[in-house]
Amino acid sequence: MKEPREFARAHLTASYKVPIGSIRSLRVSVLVATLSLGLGGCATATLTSGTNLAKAGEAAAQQMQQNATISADSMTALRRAVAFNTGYNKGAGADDAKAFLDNMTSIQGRLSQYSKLLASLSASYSALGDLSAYDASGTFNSSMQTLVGDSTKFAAAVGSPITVPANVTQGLSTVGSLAIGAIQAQRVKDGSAKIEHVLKQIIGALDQPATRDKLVPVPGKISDQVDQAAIVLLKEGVYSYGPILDQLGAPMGLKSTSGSDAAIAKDDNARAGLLAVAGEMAAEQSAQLAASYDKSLAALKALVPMHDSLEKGAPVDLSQIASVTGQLQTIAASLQTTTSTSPAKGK
Amino acid sequence: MSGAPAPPTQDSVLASLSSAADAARQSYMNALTSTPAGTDLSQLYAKEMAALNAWSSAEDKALANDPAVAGAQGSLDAATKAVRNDLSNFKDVATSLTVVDNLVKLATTLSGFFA
Repeated sequence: MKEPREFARAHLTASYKVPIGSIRSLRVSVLVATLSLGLGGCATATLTSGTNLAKAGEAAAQQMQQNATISADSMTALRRAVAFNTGYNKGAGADDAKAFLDNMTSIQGRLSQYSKLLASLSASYSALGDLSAYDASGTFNSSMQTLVGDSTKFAAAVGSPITVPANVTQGLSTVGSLAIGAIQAQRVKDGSAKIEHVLKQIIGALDQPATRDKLVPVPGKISDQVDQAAIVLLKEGVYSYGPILDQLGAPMGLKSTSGSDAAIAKDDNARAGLLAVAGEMAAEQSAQLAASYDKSLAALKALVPMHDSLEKGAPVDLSQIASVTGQLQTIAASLQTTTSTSPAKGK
Repeated sequence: MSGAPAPPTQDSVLASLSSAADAARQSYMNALTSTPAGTDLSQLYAKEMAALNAWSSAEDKALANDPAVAGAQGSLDAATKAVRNDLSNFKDVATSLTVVDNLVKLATTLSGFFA
Protein backbone atom coordinates (compact mmCIF):
# COMPACT_ATOMS: atom_id res chain seq x y z
CA MET A 1 0.00 0.00 0.00
CA LYS A 2 1.35 3.41 -1.02
CA GLU A 3 2.07 6.13 1.49
CA PRO A 4 -0.36 9.01 1.23
CA ARG A 5 2.39 11.33 -0.11
CA GLU A 6 3.41 8.80 -2.80
CA PHE A 7 -0.20 8.24 -3.74
CA ALA A 8 -0.69 11.97 -4.16
CA ARG A 9 2.45 12.33 -6.30
CA ALA A 10 1.46 9.42 -8.54
CA HIS A 11 -2.04 10.77 -8.96
CA LEU A 12 -0.84 14.29 -9.83
CA THR A 13 1.69 12.92 -12.33
CA ALA A 14 -1.02 10.85 -13.97
CA SER A 15 -3.27 13.86 -14.30
CA TYR A 16 -0.56 15.68 -16.26
CA LYS A 17 -0.34 12.80 -18.75
CA VAL A 18 -3.47 13.74 -20.63
CA PRO A 19 -3.68 12.61 -24.31
CA ILE A 20 -3.25 15.42 -26.88
CA GLY A 21 -6.74 14.76 -28.36
CA SER A 22 -8.32 15.30 -24.97
CA ILE A 23 -6.48 18.60 -24.55
CA ARG A 24 -7.82 19.80 -27.92
CA SER A 25 -11.29 18.71 -26.91
CA LEU A 26 -10.88 20.52 -23.62
CA ARG A 27 -9.70 23.69 -25.41
CA VAL A 28 -12.70 23.54 -27.77
CA SER A 29 -15.06 23.07 -24.84
CA VAL A 30 -13.48 26.00 -22.97
CA LEU A 31 -13.67 28.14 -26.13
CA VAL A 32 -17.32 27.27 -26.76
CA ALA A 33 -18.14 27.78 -23.10
CA THR A 34 -16.45 31.19 -23.21
CA LEU A 35 -18.35 32.11 -26.37
CA SER A 36 -21.49 30.84 -24.78
CA LEU A 37 -20.93 32.99 -21.73
CA GLY A 38 -20.18 35.99 -23.95
CA LEU A 39 -23.24 35.41 -26.15
CA GLY A 40 -25.40 34.11 -23.33
CA GLY A 41 -27.93 36.94 -23.33
CA CYS A 42 -28.26 36.93 -27.10
CA ALA A 43 -28.68 33.16 -27.24
CA THR A 44 -31.27 33.19 -24.48
CA ALA A 45 -33.25 35.88 -26.30
CA THR A 46 -33.19 33.83 -29.52
CA LEU A 47 -34.30 30.68 -27.72
CA THR A 48 -37.13 32.58 -26.03
CA SER A 49 -38.15 34.06 -29.39
CA GLY A 50 -38.03 30.57 -30.89
CA THR A 51 -40.35 29.26 -28.20
CA ASN A 52 -42.79 32.15 -28.73
CA LEU A 53 -42.72 31.85 -32.51
CA ALA A 54 -43.29 28.11 -32.22
CA LYS A 55 -46.37 28.62 -30.05
CA ALA A 56 -47.79 31.28 -32.39
CA GLY A 57 -47.10 29.20 -35.50
CA GLU A 58 -48.66 26.10 -34.01
CA ALA A 59 -51.78 28.04 -33.00
CA ALA A 60 -52.15 29.73 -36.39
CA ALA A 61 -51.78 26.47 -38.32
CA GLN A 62 -54.19 24.61 -36.04
CA GLN A 63 -56.76 27.40 -36.27
CA MET A 64 -56.60 27.41 -40.06
CA GLN A 65 -56.98 23.64 -40.09
CA GLN A 66 -60.06 23.92 -37.87
CA ASN A 67 -61.62 26.68 -39.98
CA ALA A 68 -60.91 25.46 -43.47
CA THR A 69 -61.25 21.70 -43.77
CA ILE A 70 -64.22 19.32 -43.78
CA SER A 71 -64.31 17.23 -40.64
CA ALA A 72 -66.00 13.84 -40.41
CA ASP A 73 -68.57 15.44 -38.08
CA SER A 74 -69.39 18.12 -40.68
CA MET A 75 -69.96 15.48 -43.36
CA THR A 76 -72.23 13.53 -41.02
CA ALA A 77 -74.21 16.69 -40.25
CA LEU A 78 -74.48 17.43 -44.00
CA ARG A 79 -75.76 13.95 -44.85
CA ARG A 80 -78.36 14.12 -42.10
CA ALA A 81 -79.48 17.62 -43.09
CA VAL A 82 -79.82 16.72 -46.78
CA ALA A 83 -81.69 13.54 -45.83
CA PHE A 84 -84.11 15.62 -43.78
CA ASN A 85 -84.49 18.38 -46.39
CA THR A 86 -85.15 15.86 -49.16
CA GLY A 87 -87.56 13.85 -47.03
CA TYR A 88 -89.39 17.01 -45.99
CA ASN A 89 -89.79 17.93 -49.67
CA LYS A 90 -91.29 14.50 -50.44
CA GLY A 91 -88.21 13.20 -52.25
CA ALA A 92 -88.02 16.06 -54.75
CA GLY A 93 -84.48 16.45 -56.14
CA ALA A 94 -83.40 13.14 -54.57
CA ASP A 95 -81.12 12.17 -57.47
CA ASP A 96 -79.37 15.54 -57.44
CA ALA A 97 -79.14 15.41 -53.64
CA LYS A 98 -77.41 12.04 -53.81
CA ALA A 99 -75.01 13.26 -56.52
CA PHE A 100 -74.31 16.37 -54.42
CA LEU A 101 -73.43 14.23 -51.38
CA ASP A 102 -71.22 11.94 -53.50
CA ASN A 103 -69.40 14.98 -54.87
CA MET A 104 -68.96 16.43 -51.37
CA THR A 105 -67.49 13.13 -50.13
CA SER A 106 -64.97 13.26 -52.97
CA ILE A 107 -64.23 16.93 -52.23
CA GLN A 108 -63.64 16.05 -48.56
CA GLY A 109 -61.05 13.50 -49.67
CA ARG A 110 -59.31 16.01 -51.92
CA LEU A 111 -59.23 18.59 -49.12
CA SER A 112 -57.63 16.09 -46.75
CA GLN A 113 -54.33 17.08 -48.38
CA TYR A 114 -55.02 20.59 -47.14
CA SER A 115 -55.65 19.28 -43.65
CA LYS A 116 -52.45 17.21 -43.75
CA LEU A 117 -50.44 20.23 -44.86
CA LEU A 118 -51.69 22.36 -41.97
CA ALA A 119 -51.08 19.52 -39.52
CA SER A 120 -47.51 19.22 -40.85
CA LEU A 121 -46.98 22.97 -40.54
CA SER A 122 -48.23 22.85 -36.96
CA ALA A 123 -45.94 19.87 -36.23
CA SER A 124 -42.94 21.75 -37.66
CA TYR A 125 -43.60 24.69 -35.36
CA SER A 126 -43.94 22.29 -32.45
CA ALA A 127 -40.54 20.81 -33.39
CA LEU A 128 -39.08 24.33 -33.55
CA GLY A 129 -40.34 24.82 -29.99
CA ASP A 130 -38.57 21.61 -28.95
CA LEU A 131 -35.43 22.81 -30.70
CA SER A 132 -35.58 25.98 -28.60
CA ALA A 133 -35.85 23.95 -25.41
CA TYR A 134 -33.31 21.19 -26.05
CA ASP A 135 -31.31 19.53 -28.84
CA ALA A 136 -34.19 18.15 -30.92
CA SER A 137 -32.57 18.32 -34.37
CA GLY A 138 -33.70 14.81 -35.30
CA THR A 139 -37.38 15.57 -34.62
CA PHE A 140 -37.13 18.88 -36.44
CA ASN A 141 -35.50 17.37 -39.53
CA SER A 142 -38.16 14.69 -39.72
CA SER A 143 -40.99 17.24 -39.38
CA MET A 144 -39.47 19.43 -42.11
CA GLN A 145 -39.30 16.49 -44.52
CA THR A 146 -43.01 15.82 -43.91
CA LEU A 147 -43.90 19.50 -44.27
CA VAL A 148 -42.06 19.89 -47.56
CA GLY A 149 -43.66 16.70 -48.92
CA ASP A 150 -47.18 17.74 -47.91
CA SER A 151 -46.69 21.31 -49.20
CA THR A 152 -45.59 20.08 -52.60
CA LYS A 153 -48.55 17.69 -52.89
CA PHE A 154 -51.00 20.35 -51.74
CA ALA A 155 -49.68 23.03 -54.08
CA ALA A 156 -49.92 20.61 -57.01
CA ALA A 157 -53.50 19.74 -55.99
CA VAL A 158 -54.60 23.39 -56.09
CA GLY A 159 -52.75 23.96 -59.35
CA SER A 160 -50.02 26.15 -57.87
CA PRO A 161 -46.80 24.10 -57.95
CA ILE A 162 -43.99 25.11 -55.61
CA THR A 163 -40.29 24.33 -55.60
CA VAL A 164 -38.25 23.89 -52.46
CA PRO A 165 -34.47 24.37 -52.71
CA ALA A 166 -32.16 21.64 -51.47
CA ASN A 167 -30.86 23.66 -48.53
CA VAL A 168 -34.37 23.72 -47.05
CA THR A 169 -34.72 19.95 -47.11
CA GLN A 170 -31.15 19.44 -45.88
CA GLY A 171 -31.33 18.54 -42.18
CA LEU A 172 -29.88 20.45 -39.28
CA SER A 173 -26.67 18.86 -37.97
CA THR A 174 -26.90 16.90 -34.78
CA VAL A 175 -24.30 17.05 -32.00
CA GLY A 176 -25.61 14.51 -29.56
CA SER A 177 -26.49 15.83 -26.14
CA LEU A 178 -24.25 18.92 -26.33
CA ALA A 179 -26.67 21.76 -25.73
CA ILE A 180 -24.68 24.93 -25.59
CA GLY A 181 -26.71 28.12 -25.89
CA ALA A 182 -24.97 29.71 -28.88
CA ILE A 183 -25.03 26.54 -30.98
CA GLN A 184 -28.64 25.84 -30.01
CA ALA A 185 -29.65 29.42 -30.86
CA GLN A 186 -28.03 29.16 -34.28
CA ARG A 187 -29.93 25.94 -34.90
CA VAL A 188 -33.20 27.63 -33.98
CA LYS A 189 -32.41 30.43 -36.47
CA ASP A 190 -31.60 27.88 -39.18
CA GLY A 191 -34.77 25.93 -38.40
CA SER A 192 -36.82 29.12 -38.50
CA ALA A 193 -35.40 29.99 -41.92
CA LYS A 194 -36.33 26.56 -43.25
CA ILE A 195 -39.92 26.79 -42.00
CA GLU A 196 -40.20 30.38 -43.24
CA HIS A 197 -39.22 29.35 -46.75
CA VAL A 198 -41.98 26.71 -46.92
CA LEU A 199 -44.44 29.00 -45.11
CA LYS A 200 -44.01 31.68 -47.78
CA GLN A 201 -44.66 29.11 -50.49
CA ILE A 202 -47.82 27.92 -48.69
CA ILE A 203 -49.02 31.52 -48.27
CA GLY A 204 -48.35 32.14 -51.97
CA ALA A 205 -50.54 29.18 -52.93
CA LEU A 206 -53.33 30.01 -50.47
CA ASP A 207 -53.35 33.69 -51.39
CA GLN A 208 -54.11 33.09 -55.03
CA PRO A 209 -57.73 33.96 -55.91
CA ALA A 210 -57.98 30.66 -57.77
CA THR A 211 -57.18 28.70 -54.60
CA ARG A 212 -59.45 30.86 -52.48
CA ASP A 213 -62.36 30.40 -54.91
CA LYS A 214 -61.96 26.65 -54.65
CA LEU A 215 -61.66 26.43 -50.87
CA VAL A 216 -63.86 29.16 -49.38
CA PRO A 217 -67.33 28.10 -50.62
CA VAL A 218 -67.11 24.49 -49.40
CA PRO A 219 -67.76 24.89 -45.65
CA GLY A 220 -70.45 27.48 -46.38
CA LYS A 221 -72.38 25.08 -48.61
CA ILE A 222 -72.37 22.54 -45.76
CA SER A 223 -73.52 24.96 -43.08
CA ASP A 224 -76.24 26.24 -45.45
CA GLN A 225 -77.86 22.80 -45.66
CA VAL A 226 -77.63 22.25 -41.91
CA ASP A 227 -79.14 25.68 -41.23
CA GLN A 228 -81.85 25.10 -43.82
CA ALA A 229 -83.02 21.94 -42.02
CA ALA A 230 -83.05 23.80 -38.69
CA ILE A 231 -85.06 26.70 -40.13
CA VAL A 232 -87.65 24.32 -41.62
CA LEU A 233 -88.13 22.75 -38.19
CA LEU A 234 -88.23 26.18 -36.57
CA LYS A 235 -90.97 27.22 -38.99
CA GLU A 236 -92.93 24.04 -38.27
CA GLY A 237 -92.86 24.84 -34.54
CA VAL A 238 -90.60 21.92 -33.59
CA TYR A 239 -87.78 24.14 -32.34
CA SER A 240 -88.19 26.99 -29.92
CA TYR A 241 -87.80 30.60 -31.04
CA GLY A 242 -86.27 31.25 -27.60
CA PRO A 243 -82.58 31.50 -28.64
CA ILE A 244 -83.43 33.91 -31.47
CA LEU A 245 -85.63 36.01 -29.20
CA ASP A 246 -82.89 36.10 -26.56
CA GLN A 247 -80.26 37.28 -29.06
CA LEU A 248 -82.65 39.86 -30.49
CA GLY A 249 -83.55 41.20 -27.03
CA ALA A 250 -80.07 41.02 -25.51
CA PRO A 251 -79.13 44.68 -26.17
CA MET A 252 -82.16 45.70 -24.09
CA GLY A 253 -81.78 42.93 -21.52
CA LEU A 254 -84.93 41.14 -22.75
CA LYS A 255 -85.38 37.37 -22.52
CA SER A 256 -87.91 34.87 -23.83
CA THR A 257 -90.35 33.21 -21.44
CA SER A 258 -92.07 29.83 -21.32
CA GLY A 259 -95.03 31.48 -23.05
CA SER A 260 -93.07 33.00 -25.95
CA ASP A 261 -93.49 30.13 -28.43
CA ALA A 262 -97.22 29.94 -27.83
CA ALA A 263 -97.53 33.69 -28.44
CA ILE A 264 -95.53 33.48 -31.68
CA ALA A 265 -97.60 30.51 -32.90
CA LYS A 266 -100.65 32.81 -32.86
CA ASP A 267 -98.92 35.74 -34.57
CA ASP A 268 -98.08 35.27 -38.27
CA ASN A 269 -96.21 38.57 -38.46
CA ALA A 270 -93.99 37.81 -35.46
CA ARG A 271 -93.25 34.35 -36.84
CA ALA A 272 -92.38 35.73 -40.30
CA GLY A 273 -90.10 38.32 -38.70
CA LEU A 274 -88.30 35.75 -36.56
CA LEU A 275 -87.87 33.37 -39.51
CA ALA A 276 -86.31 36.25 -41.43
CA VAL A 277 -83.94 36.79 -38.48
CA ALA A 278 -83.05 33.07 -38.53
CA GLY A 279 -82.30 33.39 -42.26
CA GLU A 280 -80.11 36.40 -41.54
CA MET A 281 -78.23 34.47 -38.85
CA ALA A 282 -77.57 31.67 -41.34
CA ALA A 283 -76.26 34.22 -43.88
CA GLU A 284 -73.99 35.73 -41.20
CA GLN A 285 -72.64 32.27 -40.45
CA SER A 286 -71.77 31.72 -44.13
CA ALA A 287 -70.05 35.11 -44.24
CA GLN A 288 -68.06 34.24 -41.10
CA LEU A 289 -66.91 31.00 -42.65
CA ALA A 290 -65.60 32.91 -45.65
CA ALA A 291 -63.97 35.46 -43.33
CA SER A 292 -62.27 32.70 -41.36
CA TYR A 293 -60.22 31.76 -44.42
CA ASP A 294 -58.91 35.30 -44.80
CA LYS A 295 -58.26 35.61 -41.06
CA SER A 296 -56.40 32.32 -41.04
CA LEU A 297 -54.33 33.46 -43.99
CA ALA A 298 -53.61 36.75 -42.23
CA ALA A 299 -52.41 34.78 -39.19
CA LEU A 300 -50.00 32.80 -41.37
CA LYS A 301 -48.76 36.02 -43.02
CA ALA A 302 -48.19 37.58 -39.59
CA LEU A 303 -45.70 34.80 -38.84
CA VAL A 304 -43.30 35.96 -41.59
CA PRO A 305 -42.01 39.14 -39.88
CA MET A 306 -41.69 37.14 -36.67
CA HIS A 307 -39.41 34.68 -38.46
CA ASP A 308 -37.39 37.60 -39.85
CA SER A 309 -36.97 39.13 -36.40
CA LEU A 310 -35.86 35.85 -34.87
CA GLU A 311 -33.34 35.19 -37.64
CA LYS A 312 -31.86 38.69 -37.15
CA GLY A 313 -31.62 38.10 -33.40
CA ALA A 314 -34.25 40.77 -32.66
CA PRO A 315 -37.13 40.17 -30.21
CA VAL A 316 -40.29 38.68 -31.71
CA ASP A 317 -43.38 40.90 -31.58
CA LEU A 318 -46.25 38.65 -30.55
CA SER A 319 -48.94 41.33 -30.45
CA GLN A 320 -49.92 41.01 -34.12
CA ILE A 321 -50.23 37.24 -34.11
CA ALA A 322 -52.06 37.33 -30.77
CA SER A 323 -54.57 39.73 -32.29
CA VAL A 324 -55.16 37.60 -35.36
CA THR A 325 -55.42 34.28 -33.53
CA GLY A 326 -57.78 35.97 -31.08
CA GLN A 327 -60.04 36.93 -33.98
CA LEU A 328 -59.89 33.38 -35.33
CA GLN A 329 -60.95 31.98 -31.98
CA THR A 330 -63.81 34.47 -31.84
CA ILE A 331 -65.02 33.33 -35.26
CA ALA A 332 -64.76 29.66 -34.29
CA ALA A 333 -66.69 30.33 -31.07
CA SER A 334 -69.40 32.31 -32.86
CA LEU A 335 -69.82 29.55 -35.44
CA GLN A 336 -70.39 27.06 -32.64
CA THR A 337 -72.96 29.40 -31.08
CA THR A 338 -74.93 30.03 -34.26
CA THR A 339 -75.14 26.32 -35.10
CA SER A 340 -76.69 25.39 -31.75
CA THR A 341 -80.50 25.38 -31.69
CA SER A 342 -82.54 24.56 -28.62
CA PRO A 343 -85.41 22.08 -28.65
CA ALA A 344 -88.87 23.54 -28.24
CA LYS A 345 -89.71 24.56 -24.71
CA GLY A 346 -92.24 22.41 -23.01
CA LYS A 347 -92.37 19.86 -25.80
CA MET B 1 -66.12 52.42 -72.59
CA SER B 2 -66.88 48.74 -72.31
CA GLY B 3 -64.60 46.24 -74.00
CA ALA B 4 -65.21 42.59 -74.71
CA PRO B 5 -65.80 40.52 -71.58
CA ALA B 6 -62.73 38.76 -70.23
CA PRO B 7 -62.44 35.19 -71.44
CA PRO B 8 -63.76 32.76 -68.83
CA THR B 9 -61.40 30.67 -66.82
CA GLN B 10 -62.01 27.52 -64.85
CA ASP B 11 -61.91 29.57 -61.65
CA SER B 12 -64.33 32.24 -62.84
CA VAL B 13 -66.76 29.59 -64.09
CA LEU B 14 -66.51 27.80 -60.75
CA ALA B 15 -67.23 31.09 -58.94
CA SER B 16 -70.29 31.62 -61.17
CA LEU B 17 -71.57 28.12 -60.41
CA SER B 18 -71.08 28.74 -56.68
CA SER B 19 -73.00 32.02 -56.91
CA ALA B 20 -75.77 30.31 -58.88
CA ALA B 21 -76.07 27.60 -56.21
CA ASP B 22 -76.20 30.27 -53.50
CA ALA B 23 -78.90 32.17 -55.40
CA ALA B 24 -80.99 29.00 -55.85
CA ARG B 25 -80.66 28.25 -52.14
CA GLN B 26 -81.56 31.80 -51.15
CA SER B 27 -84.62 31.57 -53.36
CA TYR B 28 -85.76 28.46 -51.48
CA MET B 29 -84.96 30.07 -48.13
CA ASN B 30 -86.80 33.22 -49.11
CA ALA B 31 -89.89 31.22 -50.00
CA LEU B 32 -89.51 29.20 -46.81
CA THR B 33 -89.48 32.25 -44.56
CA SER B 34 -92.16 34.12 -46.53
CA THR B 35 -94.90 31.50 -46.86
CA PRO B 36 -97.25 29.88 -44.34
CA ALA B 37 -96.26 26.57 -42.73
CA GLY B 38 -97.14 23.61 -44.93
CA THR B 39 -96.63 25.43 -48.26
CA ASP B 40 -95.25 23.01 -50.87
CA LEU B 41 -91.77 24.22 -51.82
CA SER B 42 -90.52 20.88 -53.10
CA GLN B 43 -89.99 22.03 -56.70
CA LEU B 44 -87.86 24.96 -55.54
CA TYR B 45 -85.88 22.58 -53.33
CA ALA B 46 -85.29 20.26 -56.28
CA LYS B 47 -83.86 23.21 -58.24
CA GLU B 48 -81.60 24.07 -55.32
CA MET B 49 -80.26 20.51 -55.27
CA ALA B 50 -79.70 20.61 -59.06
CA ALA B 51 -77.68 23.81 -58.72
CA LEU B 52 -75.68 22.34 -55.82
CA ASN B 53 -75.02 19.22 -57.86
CA ALA B 54 -73.74 21.35 -60.77
CA TRP B 55 -71.44 23.34 -58.50
CA SER B 56 -70.11 20.40 -56.45
CA SER B 57 -69.41 18.36 -59.58
CA ALA B 58 -67.35 21.23 -61.04
CA GLU B 59 -65.68 21.89 -57.66
CA ASP B 60 -64.64 18.26 -57.35
CA LYS B 61 -63.09 18.33 -60.82
CA ALA B 62 -61.44 21.70 -60.22
CA LEU B 63 -59.80 20.38 -57.03
CA ALA B 64 -58.52 17.48 -59.11
CA ASN B 65 -56.99 20.18 -61.31
CA ASP B 66 -59.17 19.41 -64.34
CA PRO B 67 -58.39 22.33 -66.68
CA ALA B 68 -61.61 22.31 -68.74
CA VAL B 69 -63.00 25.84 -69.15
CA ALA B 70 -66.09 27.02 -70.94
CA GLY B 71 -68.21 29.94 -72.14
CA ALA B 72 -71.86 30.65 -71.29
CA GLN B 73 -70.67 32.20 -68.04
CA GLY B 74 -72.23 35.56 -68.89
CA SER B 75 -75.67 33.99 -69.27
CA LEU B 76 -75.35 32.23 -65.95
CA ASP B 77 -74.27 35.41 -64.17
CA ALA B 78 -77.26 37.24 -65.69
CA ALA B 79 -79.59 34.48 -64.49
CA THR B 80 -78.05 34.65 -61.02
CA LYS B 81 -78.71 38.39 -61.00
CA ALA B 82 -82.33 37.74 -62.02
CA VAL B 83 -82.77 35.35 -59.09
CA ARG B 84 -81.29 37.88 -56.68
CA ASN B 85 -83.68 40.50 -58.08
CA ASP B 86 -86.56 38.09 -57.55
CA LEU B 87 -85.42 37.67 -53.94
CA SER B 88 -85.91 41.34 -53.24
CA ASN B 89 -89.31 41.39 -54.98
CA PHE B 90 -90.77 38.08 -53.86
CA LYS B 91 -94.25 37.57 -55.34
CA ASP B 92 -95.04 33.90 -55.22
CA VAL B 93 -93.47 30.48 -55.39
CA ALA B 94 -94.43 29.94 -59.05
CA THR B 95 -92.60 33.09 -60.21
CA SER B 96 -89.51 32.15 -58.21
CA LEU B 97 -89.64 28.66 -59.65
CA THR B 98 -89.57 29.99 -63.22
CA VAL B 99 -86.60 32.26 -62.54
CA VAL B 100 -84.62 29.59 -60.66
CA ASP B 101 -85.43 27.00 -63.32
CA ASN B 102 -83.70 29.16 -65.93
CA LEU B 103 -80.70 29.56 -63.61
CA VAL B 104 -80.38 25.83 -62.99
CA LYS B 105 -80.59 25.00 -66.70
CA LEU B 106 -77.70 27.36 -67.39
CA ALA B 107 -75.70 26.08 -64.40
CA THR B 108 -76.16 22.48 -65.48
CA THR B 109 -75.06 23.32 -69.03
CA LEU B 110 -72.03 25.18 -67.75
CA SER B 111 -70.98 22.45 -65.33
CA GLY B 112 -70.99 20.04 -68.25
CA PHE B 113 -67.89 21.78 -69.57
CA PHE B 114 -65.97 20.46 -66.58
CA ALA B 115 -66.61 16.86 -67.60
